[in-house]
Amino acid sequence: MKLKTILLAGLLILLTACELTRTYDEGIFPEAPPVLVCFARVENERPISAYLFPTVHALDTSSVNFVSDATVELYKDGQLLEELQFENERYVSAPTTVGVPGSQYQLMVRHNDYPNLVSESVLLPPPVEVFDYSINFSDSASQYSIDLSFSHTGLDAASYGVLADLYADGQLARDRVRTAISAADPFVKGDTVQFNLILPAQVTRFEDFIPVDTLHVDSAAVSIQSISDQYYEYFASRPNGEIGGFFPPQDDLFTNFEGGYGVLFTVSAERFGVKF
Amino acid sequence: MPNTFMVLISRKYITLFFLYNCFVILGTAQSDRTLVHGTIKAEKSREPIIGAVIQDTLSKAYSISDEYGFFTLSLRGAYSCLQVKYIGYEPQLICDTFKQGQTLNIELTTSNFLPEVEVSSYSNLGVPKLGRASLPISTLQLLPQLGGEADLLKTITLLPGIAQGVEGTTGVLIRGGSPDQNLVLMDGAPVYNLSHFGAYLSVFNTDAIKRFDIYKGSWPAKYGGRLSGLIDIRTREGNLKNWEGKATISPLLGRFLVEGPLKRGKTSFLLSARSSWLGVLFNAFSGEDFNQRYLMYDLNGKITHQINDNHRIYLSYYSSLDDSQVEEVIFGGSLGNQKRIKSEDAIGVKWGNQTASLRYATFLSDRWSLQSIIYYTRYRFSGFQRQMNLFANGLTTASFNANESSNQDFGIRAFAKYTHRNLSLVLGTEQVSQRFNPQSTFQAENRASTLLLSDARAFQQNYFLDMNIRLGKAADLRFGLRQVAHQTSDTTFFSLEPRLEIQRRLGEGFQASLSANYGQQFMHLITGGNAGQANEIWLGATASAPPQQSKQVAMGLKWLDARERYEISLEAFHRRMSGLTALKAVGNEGLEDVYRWEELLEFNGEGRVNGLELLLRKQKGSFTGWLAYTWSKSQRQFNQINQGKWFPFRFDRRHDFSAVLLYTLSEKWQFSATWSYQTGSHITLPTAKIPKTDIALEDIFFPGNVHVNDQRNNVTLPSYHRLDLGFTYTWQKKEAGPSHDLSLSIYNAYNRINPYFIRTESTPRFNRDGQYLGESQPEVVIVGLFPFIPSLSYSRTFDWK
Repeated sequence: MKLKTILLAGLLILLTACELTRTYDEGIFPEAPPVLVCFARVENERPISAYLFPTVHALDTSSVNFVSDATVELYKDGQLLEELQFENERYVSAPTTVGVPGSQYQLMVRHNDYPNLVSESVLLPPPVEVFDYSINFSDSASQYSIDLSFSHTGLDAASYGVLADLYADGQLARDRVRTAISAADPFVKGDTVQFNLILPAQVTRFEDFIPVDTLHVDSAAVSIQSISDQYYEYFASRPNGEIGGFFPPQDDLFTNFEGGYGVLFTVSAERFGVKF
Repeated sequence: MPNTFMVLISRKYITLFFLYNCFVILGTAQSDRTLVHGTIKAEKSREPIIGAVIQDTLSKAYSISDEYGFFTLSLRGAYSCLQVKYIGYEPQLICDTFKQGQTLNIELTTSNFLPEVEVSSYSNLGVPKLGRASLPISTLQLLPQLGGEADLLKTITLLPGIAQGVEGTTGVLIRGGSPDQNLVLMDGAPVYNLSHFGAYLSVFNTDAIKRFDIYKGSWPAKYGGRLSGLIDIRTREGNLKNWEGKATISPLLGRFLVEGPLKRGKTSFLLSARSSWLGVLFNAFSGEDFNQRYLMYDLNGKITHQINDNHRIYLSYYSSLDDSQVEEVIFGGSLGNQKRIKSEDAIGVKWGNQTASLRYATFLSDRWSLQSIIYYTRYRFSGFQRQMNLFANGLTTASFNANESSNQDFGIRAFAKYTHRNLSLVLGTEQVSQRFNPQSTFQAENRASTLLLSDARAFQQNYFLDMNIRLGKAADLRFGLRQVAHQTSDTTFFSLEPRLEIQRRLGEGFQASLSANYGQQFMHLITGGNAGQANEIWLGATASAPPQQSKQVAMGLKWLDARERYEISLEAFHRRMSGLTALKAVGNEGLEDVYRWEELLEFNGEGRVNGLELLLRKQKGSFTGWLAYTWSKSQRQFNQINQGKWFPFRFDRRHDFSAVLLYTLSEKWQFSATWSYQTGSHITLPTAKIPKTDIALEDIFFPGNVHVNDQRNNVTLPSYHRLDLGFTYTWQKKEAGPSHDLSLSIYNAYNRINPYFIRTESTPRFNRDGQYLGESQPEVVIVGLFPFIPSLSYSRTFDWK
C-alpha cells in the first residue's frame, strides 16, 4: 500500500511539475526610435487643443513626458490658421479660435528630435438639431426625466454623449452630469435619435464628506455632443496588453497621423437650456 | 490565329510524341522475356512485406513489392537468379528456370545476426525517392521519447525538411507548411486530429504500424487535397500462422497487441489498444467535493482475408478518444449579496477520431491489378461548462453551455494498376463526400436557451493517372495528373494538378532527381496550434474562403555506397502558396467566439518557402544513425496583416539540425541518443508603447499604456535544443520464449528550458516606510514546458503456439 502511494505520488509529481521558467535579459524586445503621439480635439464650442508626447520602449513604465518645444500648426481648409501654444501640458489655440462646423482641420507637428507628424484632414460636422423634448418629474425618485429627440448625423449611436450642467437659483449646482447612449439600435429611428436623460431634482453639497446643503435644481444647460469615429476607432483598436502569448496580439492600432501615432478627432456640441 | 493554331499543333505533337515514346518503350519487349509475379511475405507471420526489393541478378532488372507485398518482374530469358532483400530479413537467392506468368510466393526469414538497428526503409533501388522519407518501426521504438512512449510524429521531425511546431506537440511542419497542410492516411483513410493529451502525444500506436512513408514533394497522383506533406501509414495485418501478443507499460500509458489467424493461412486478426494511467491517478486523488476524470484510449483493429493468392480483403478500424472532466462542489459562501448554500461547477472536453476502411485488392493477371477502398473518417471535439447555485433564500441559478465541432469524410477510391516491364500505370478515381460542422453551440441560462448550428457540405470528384517509366538503367520518370472538382453549396472549384518526377542515375551510387508539382487544398483549419489545445476546427473552402494552392519544385542529389552502408543526400526546394488563411490579430479573447469563424480569419494570403536539406546517414552496423540539417525560409503575406508586407511564418525554422545515434552494445543492450536544434519560433512583440497617461480632453479620456504591435512575427525566440538518451535492455529466458524489453528514456537530459512562450513580470517596490513606489522595470521570463524527465517502460511478448 505504501509503495503504491509512493508510486502514485511520484507519477503525479513527474507529470504535473513540468512548467519551468528562466529570466531572459538579452534584449528580446525590438528597439524602435521614438515617435510622437498626438491626442487632439477640434470642437465647435472650445479652442482646439492637442497633447503631445513621445512613444517609449515597450517595457518602459515611466509616466508620460509631454513635449513642450514642438511647432504645432493648425490648418483649416488647407490654410494655416495659427500655431498652437504650449500651456499646461498641452498645445491650445487662441481662446477665440473655435471649430467651425463644415470646415476641414489638420495638424502638423515639427520637432528636432522626432519625425514630423501630419494628421489627416478631419471634418467638423454640424451639431445635431434638437427636434423636441419633454420633461417629466418623478416625485418618488426625486428626479427629472427629459425625453429628447434630435437629428441623427449617421454616426454610431454610441458616439453621442449627452451632458447637463445643473443650476439652482442661477448658481451652478453640478456640472457635466453625463449619460452616454450605450445601446445602439433602440435609440436611432431613421433620421432621429431618441434619448432619455435622467437628472437629479436635488443636489446635496458636501464639505469634508459632510452634507452641508441641499439645492433644488430649477434649470439645466443640456449639451449633446457627437464625437467623430476616429476616437472610437482608436479606442477599439487598442491591444489587450498581453505580451508573448500564443496568439498574435491586435496589431491594427488606429491612428490618423502620419509619422507617429495619435488621434485628431472632432466634437460637435449643441447646447440648449431647460427650465423645470 | 496562326499562332494559336501552331500552339495547338505543338501541344498535339508533344502529346503524340509522348505517347509514342511510351509505346516504343513498351514495344521493345523482346519475345524471350519472361514475366513473373507474386508476393513477398514474412515467413514468421506470413504478412506481406511492403518495399522489399526483388532483383534479377543477371539483367539487374528489379521490382519493389507494393503495399500488398505484390510484385511483377520481367526477366531476360527463362533462367535467372533472383535476389530478394528487405531490412531485418535474411536476403534470399532463388536460381531457377522460370515459366512465363509464373507466380512466386516468397517468404523471408528474420535475420539471425547480432541485432542491428537499420535506420533506412529504402534501398538503393526503387522508385524515385526525392522528397521521400521513412524509418523502420524498430528504429522508432528504440529512440528516446517523452514519457517513454514511441511517437511516430515526433520522431519524424528528426528527419530533414520536417520540423516540430510547439515543443511537445504533434504538429508537424513539412517544408515550411503548416500542420493542416499535411494529409495523414492510415490504411488509406484520412485521420484529422493527431493528438492525445491535449497534443503531447500522437494518436498512432507504433505496435500496430507496419510501415510509413512521408512525401515532402511530389506525391502519387492517387492522393491529394493537401499542400505540404503526405504521411502514409500502413498498419500490420496480423500473423497468419500463430497467435502472438505484446504488452507494454510506461509511465503514461499501457498498451497491448494481440494478433493471430482466425483461419490459418487465410484470415488474420490484429487488435491493439492503448490507454492512459492518468485516469486512475486522477480518480485516486478525487474526493467528494472535487472530482477529476480522464479517459484516453486508441484502438486499432484489422481483419485481413486472403480469398486466394489473387484476392484479398482488409477491414480496418481505428478509434481514439480523450475525455476529460472536472467537477467541483462548494458549500457555503456568497455570490454578490446572496448567501449561498451550495454551488456546483463542471467543465469538460472530449475529442477523438473514428476511421473505418474496407479495402479490396485483386490481381487479375501478372500485369493488371485492381485496388479499391471505401472509407469513413470523423473527427469530433466537444466541450461543456455547467454551473448551478443554490441560495439560502431558495433561489437557484443554473447555466449550461456546450459546443461541438466535427467534420467527416465518406469516400471511395478505386484504381487499376498496369505493370509491364518498364512501365507502371495507375488510373483511377476518388469520390468524397465531406461534411463540416465548424461549431454548434447550445447555451442555456435558467429557463432560456439558444441553439446555434453551422453545417456545410461538399462533394469532391477526383480522377487520376500516374505513370512510372523506367528509361533503361539510367533514369526513372514519373508523371501524374489529378483532376479535382470540388463542389460546395455556393460554388464549384476545379483543379488540374500535375506531378512530375525524374530520377537519373549518374554513376556508382549517385542519383540526381528533379520534381515539380501543383496542388490545391479545399479546407482550412482554425487552431491555436499549441500544447494543451486539441480544439481544431476544420472549415470547407467556400467562395469567400477559397482553396489554398501550392506549387513546388525540388531537386536533389543522393549518394549511397555500394554496400548500402552510407548515404548522403542533398535536396533543394522552392514553394509558392496562395489562398492561405491566418488568424486575425484578435488576442486570446477572440478565439472564445469561434462561431463566427469567418471573422477570425484572414484569407487569400501568399506564402513562399525556400529550403535546403542535407542528410548524412550510416545505415548498417552496430553503430548507426544520421545527421540531418535543414536551412529554410518560410514567409507569409496578407493584405490586412503587417501593412501588407511579407513577414516570417510563425514556425519559420531557419536552421534545424538533428543528430541521431543508435549503438548496439551487445545482443541485450542498445543505446540511443538524439540531439536536436532549431531556430526559435517567431512571435509578435511590441516595437514601442504609448505611455500611460491621465489625459482627458475636457470630459473625453485618452487611454494610453498601449503597445504598438506594428510588425507580425517580428521577434525570433531563443533557439530550441534538447538532448534525449535511451537505453534498452532485451532478454529472453528461453530461446523460443517470450522476449522482454526494459527501456529507459531520458527526455531533455541537460534540462534546457526551451521557450514555450514568454511573459513579462514586474514586482511592486516599497520604500522603508512600506509606501508603495510602483512596479519595478518588467523583466522577460521564458516559460518552458518539459524539464529533465526520465521514464521507464517495459514490454513483453506473448506467443501461443
